[in-house]
Amino acid sequence: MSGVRLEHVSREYIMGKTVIKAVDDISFAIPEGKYTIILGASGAGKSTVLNILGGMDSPTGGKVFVNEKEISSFNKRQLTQYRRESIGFVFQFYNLMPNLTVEENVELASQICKNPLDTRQVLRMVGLDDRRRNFPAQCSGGEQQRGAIARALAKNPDVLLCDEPTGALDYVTGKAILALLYDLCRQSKKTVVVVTHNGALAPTGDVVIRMKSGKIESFTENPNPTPVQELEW
Amino acid sequence: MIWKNFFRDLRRTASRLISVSIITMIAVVVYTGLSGIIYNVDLVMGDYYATQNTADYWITGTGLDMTDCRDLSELEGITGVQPRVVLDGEDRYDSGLTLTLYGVPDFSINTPYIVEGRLPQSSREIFLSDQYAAAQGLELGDWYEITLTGLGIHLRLQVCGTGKDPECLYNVNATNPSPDLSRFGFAYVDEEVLADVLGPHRYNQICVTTEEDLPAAAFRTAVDEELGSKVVNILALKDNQPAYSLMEAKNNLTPILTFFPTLFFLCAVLMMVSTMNRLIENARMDIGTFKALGYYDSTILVYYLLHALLVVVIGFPIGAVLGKYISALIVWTIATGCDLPPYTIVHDFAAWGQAAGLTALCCLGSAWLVARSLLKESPAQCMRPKPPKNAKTVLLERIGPLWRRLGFNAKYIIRNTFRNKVRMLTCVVGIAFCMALVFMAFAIKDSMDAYSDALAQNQNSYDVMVDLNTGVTEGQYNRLTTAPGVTAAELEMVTTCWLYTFDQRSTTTLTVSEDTVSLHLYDPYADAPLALPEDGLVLEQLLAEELGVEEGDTVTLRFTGDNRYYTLKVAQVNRCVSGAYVSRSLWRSLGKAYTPTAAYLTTRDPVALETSLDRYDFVDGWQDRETVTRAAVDKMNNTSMVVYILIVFGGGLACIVIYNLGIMSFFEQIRSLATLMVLGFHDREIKRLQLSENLIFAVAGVLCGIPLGIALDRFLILSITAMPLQVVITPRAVGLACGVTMAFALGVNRIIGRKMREIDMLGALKSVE
Repeated sequence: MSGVRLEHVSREYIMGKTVIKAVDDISFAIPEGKYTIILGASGAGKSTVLNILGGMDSPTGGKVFVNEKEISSFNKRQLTQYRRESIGFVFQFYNLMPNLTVEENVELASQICKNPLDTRQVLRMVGLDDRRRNFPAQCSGGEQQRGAIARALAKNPDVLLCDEPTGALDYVTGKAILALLYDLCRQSKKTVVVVTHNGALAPTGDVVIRMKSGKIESFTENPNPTPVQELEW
Repeated sequence: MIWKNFFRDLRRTASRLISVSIITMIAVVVYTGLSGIIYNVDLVMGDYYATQNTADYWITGTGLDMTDCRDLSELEGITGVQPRVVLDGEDRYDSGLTLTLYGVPDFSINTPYIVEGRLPQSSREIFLSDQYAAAQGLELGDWYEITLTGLGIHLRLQVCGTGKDPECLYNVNATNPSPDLSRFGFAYVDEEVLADVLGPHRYNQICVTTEEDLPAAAFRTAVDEELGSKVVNILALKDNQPAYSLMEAKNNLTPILTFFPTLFFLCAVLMMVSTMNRLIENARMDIGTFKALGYYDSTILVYYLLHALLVVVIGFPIGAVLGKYISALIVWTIATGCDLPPYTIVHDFAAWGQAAGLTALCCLGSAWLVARSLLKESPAQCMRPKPPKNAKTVLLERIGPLWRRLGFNAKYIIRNTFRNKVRMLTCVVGIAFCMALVFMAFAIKDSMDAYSDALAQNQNSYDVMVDLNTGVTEGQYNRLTTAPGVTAAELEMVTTCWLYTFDQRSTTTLTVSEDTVSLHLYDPYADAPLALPEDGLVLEQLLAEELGVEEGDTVTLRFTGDNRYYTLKVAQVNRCVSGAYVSRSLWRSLGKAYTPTAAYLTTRDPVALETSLDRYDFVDGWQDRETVTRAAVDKMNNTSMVVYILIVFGGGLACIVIYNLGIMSFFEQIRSLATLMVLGFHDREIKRLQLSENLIFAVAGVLCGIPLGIALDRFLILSITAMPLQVVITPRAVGLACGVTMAFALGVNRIIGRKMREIDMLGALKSVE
């Protein structure tokens, strides 16, 4: 099955003599093209799951498949290649390169992958075409996050992973960003995984995974998700 | 709790603090080490001179007696007088083993340092230089037979003691230009032993000790008036090469010893300021938090000053302790050939104090300045990232066609490189300084090599240098020029004279040379035979400066035993000559007698010539060209050793500076690097993007370092007055210095490259900018 699949995945961190189980034997599958919300309080393990999916971290147990490729068995180089070609990542704090303009930040990603999207086209998609010559420091938080999304999208990735993408934004801007992600998922048929602690966003997901203390509390498939634009919280 | 945070903070900043500590340590090592050389040589020689009551002046003359001594001792400022007979001696059965023989009535002045036995107590005893005695297998109680050179008198004396003499510290004479302690020594005997030569209580030398503050000119005038024509020469301790050699070697090094530490400290200050600046600037968020929590500015200031203090505490003591070993190594090197009693190298605590003050000033001062400026901001301002500067486009971007043609990587590198101008400037200046240091060390070495080569190839084109007796007749000179195999001969006469200007006076050696000198050019860099001016004398540059005269001025000369004054024009001032030179024609035109003291010969048949020379009684001794050149080169090698040590330190400093700058840049950009990793950049691509910047800085620094190095080299070479060095810039020196600096830069890049593997992507991206 295409999409994302986790089988008995665990991630333990050893801090001195203490073993911390950030993710404890979880399994789930997200079909391709689904808008997925991972919900949970701080320390629930949701970011760890996202990092494992993004090839930024490896599980200490279990298997992870993305589009039928077992990424949990990848070595460092393969993981880099995987991040390069298959993953788009959106951070809470944008992480745009401060010395590059918005357009150049997008080029930074598109120049290293096989089938990148046209930079200008992506910038138009996220509504940043007129700000493309600006440096990140000259953009607002919302614009910077749009830039980050454009950078992730330009790679034409299989999966778009977003870690608290609205965490640093106000309500209106945050809603606009989520709407953008939602629309992109619908238009491009790509799998989008959004990690958030905001339970109010649950109705928008095709798939909603609730996590608690490193385990899956619930896994819900929502046949009629509410468009972000219609949601108030 | 703030102090707990301090210690945790240290872990984070450890690598940067350690690298600055190492830079500080190097600066302190160089400063205390090199200052320690001056301090220790002064100490060792000061003690040696004081303990052995070494003379301040040697008055050489004829017919000196006890009345003269009494008259001298009554002069103001004179603290001790000792007459003596000084003669040349040789082993009765091997004329190659030579000695300077001192016949003394007592040992009040120039007391020998006793290694074994005691000083002579009767006219049957002899005290020998220890290494000479050991080489001849002589032990206490043995009888030793010597011949007084040129006099044919044989002596048989019993060895009562062996030792060393500060007067024969660097035991050389005309025939032994470099010390060979096993074949050329000294001996002390009772004056009675030599009474037959000059007559009872008749002497040819008086040693004098004076009060420290007695002016040399006043002493000379007084002696001249008292002894009149009996005086042939008055030699001060500082002009007595065998006794003053080590002090002179130290003095030769003084410009280097002052210049390099200053440069090293400047470099350390630059690094210290930039590191502390960045360290504290990067902690602006923490400072804001402390302020917001209600900590006093003074507490926060102390918090950051402690970082700087730590650098002083780590860097200073290690540097200061190591400095002693550098001093020891260099003193040991420059004392090569010196016959010294055992000595100990000690710490130069005055230099410690100065270095500690300088280090504290640099480290704490820079930390204080940076922290103060940040503390003036409000907590809210501190907690916000520093606002970006307006000018964000680089010049190249404005050249549209060129900018558009550049690849993405090139654009990224150019932007990153030029955006932070302070960082760029610090890196380039730091590397340029280091490059200049390394270059200078190579360039000085080249200048010295050029001087050695010039000495060997130009100055000395003769085969044999012959020392002549005084009072040789013209006919005897002719026998030299017609000796077997001789193809060319040039004579030279060396005498001493007073030089007067309106308000200055100095004594110097006056060399009377052939009108055209071709066999022993005294300008080591001159390619053509040198013609001495007919209308005046050639004056050594230092002497001219001391007298305050320039080319075209006049000086007045007076010779010992001749009450007339001779006024001559200074026709040329030259930094390569020693003392003053006049041509034979000019000398004769003054009505002065020409009595050569040396002859330079070229020969087709050296063996035949040497055999003839041995037969001539007017020949005191002779040396071949290699021996003379080797002696000059040996002396210079002492300075080379110091230069080598500086190369090592300059290189070390360069390495640390480049590392420090690289690592700081790395830490500042760790977030960007982590982002690149997340985006899927491979390690080598990230390294290429990141490390290219370091390489660009290194190349720029190296390029700027070349003119800086040339300028510094020129300054230093011209300030080393003891040797007539010329500024020699060879492509080899430039290439080597560039190579060394770039090798350091590449090495550091490798280290930083390895560090990149350790980047924790998640950790780096979690923190807020």
